[in-house]
Amino acid sequence: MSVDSLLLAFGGIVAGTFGALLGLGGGVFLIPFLVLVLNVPMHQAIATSIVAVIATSSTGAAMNLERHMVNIRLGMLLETTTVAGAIAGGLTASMLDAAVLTKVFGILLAGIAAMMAVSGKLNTMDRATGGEKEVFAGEYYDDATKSSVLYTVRNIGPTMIISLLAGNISGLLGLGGGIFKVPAMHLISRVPIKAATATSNFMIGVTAAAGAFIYFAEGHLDPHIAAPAALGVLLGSFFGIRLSRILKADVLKWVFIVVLLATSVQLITRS
Amino acid sequence: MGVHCRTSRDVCSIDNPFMTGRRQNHDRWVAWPLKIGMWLSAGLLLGGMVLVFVHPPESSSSNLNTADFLDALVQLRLPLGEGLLYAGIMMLISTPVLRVGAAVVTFIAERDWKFVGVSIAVFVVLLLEIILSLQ
Repeated sequence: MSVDSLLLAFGGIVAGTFGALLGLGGGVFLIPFLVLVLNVPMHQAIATSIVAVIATSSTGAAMNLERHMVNIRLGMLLETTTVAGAIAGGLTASMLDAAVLTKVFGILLAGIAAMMAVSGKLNTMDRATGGEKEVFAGEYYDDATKSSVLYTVRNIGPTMIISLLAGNISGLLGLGGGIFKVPAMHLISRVPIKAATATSNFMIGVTAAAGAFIYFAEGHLDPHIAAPAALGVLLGSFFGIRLSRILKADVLKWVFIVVLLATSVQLITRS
Repeated sequence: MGVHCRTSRDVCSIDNPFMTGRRQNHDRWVAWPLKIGMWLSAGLLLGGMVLVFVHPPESSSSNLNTADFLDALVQLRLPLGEGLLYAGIMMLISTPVLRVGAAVVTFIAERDWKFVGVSIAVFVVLLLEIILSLQ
């Protein structure tokens, strides 16, 4: 096994751990590692990252579904607008100035991080009373607090619009949409952060799948790079999900805020 | 009063009339294709990597596009190791599609026709995107 394969697997483990923990997929961590450390060409790095996102999503979603952390209905509904946004992203990419957009979204992410930092503890124990939107109500057991968390989902319309933008942006900027969807679900729809990251993990694989087939069809997917990275990501995702169970929601939220700020700086400097 | 989840693997039967134990049991139906895809692709990728390490190919067929890959597959031109790597990646990227298919079946079982429609819409758009990308 070559040193490069071991490095790829190591990068995959780190990306998978944080990707699964935060519902982001891991592209934010893996692409810079592949390009800057291993000198992988950008197209191949993005193609590998997309495979990594699918690996994170499949492992994370399988484990989270077993524990009822995923809100399948909310995820499926948001997927409709994410996929529509991704298609629109392909159509509008040539009309927009990528540098300006990158800067705008970099600043936007910093704003989202600030909003998450000042948002207080969410009241997740609202009792379901039978309204139309309570078809999205959920419950899971939180290992960190040893208690059951029951929640309802509010303001689905605005979260669907942000999912549309997330799909659009992921196509335009090569980012996973999770970095927008998790805060939207948490801040606007009042979904507990653990359920929001689990539902995001569930969704990102579908958005990535379409992209993966496109990169494969164009010959950008190198199996010698993707295979060790994907194996590392599969292993890392196990760690990430196990870590997410024992971490308290507040700690998870602050880790997410740090990653949001780091991505924001990365986008602003890239632009 | 209903019963809340007491352990992480409990099928919760709670007060909420829309969140039944039956519905939560269906979470596991959707998890199955993900688990199968995950383990199968991990096995194929690991097997492929070991074979490529033990018998390095004389000339690497890296970066095949779909047409080249299918052509090589039909003519059995790919070395076994690389064939396993490609099969593992194909299995992995197909897993989310299978998962959406499983969600359709789950919603049909729950007779939740609104979400049968939603998941079929996602499934169809995804298949169309894949078919278009492969042409």
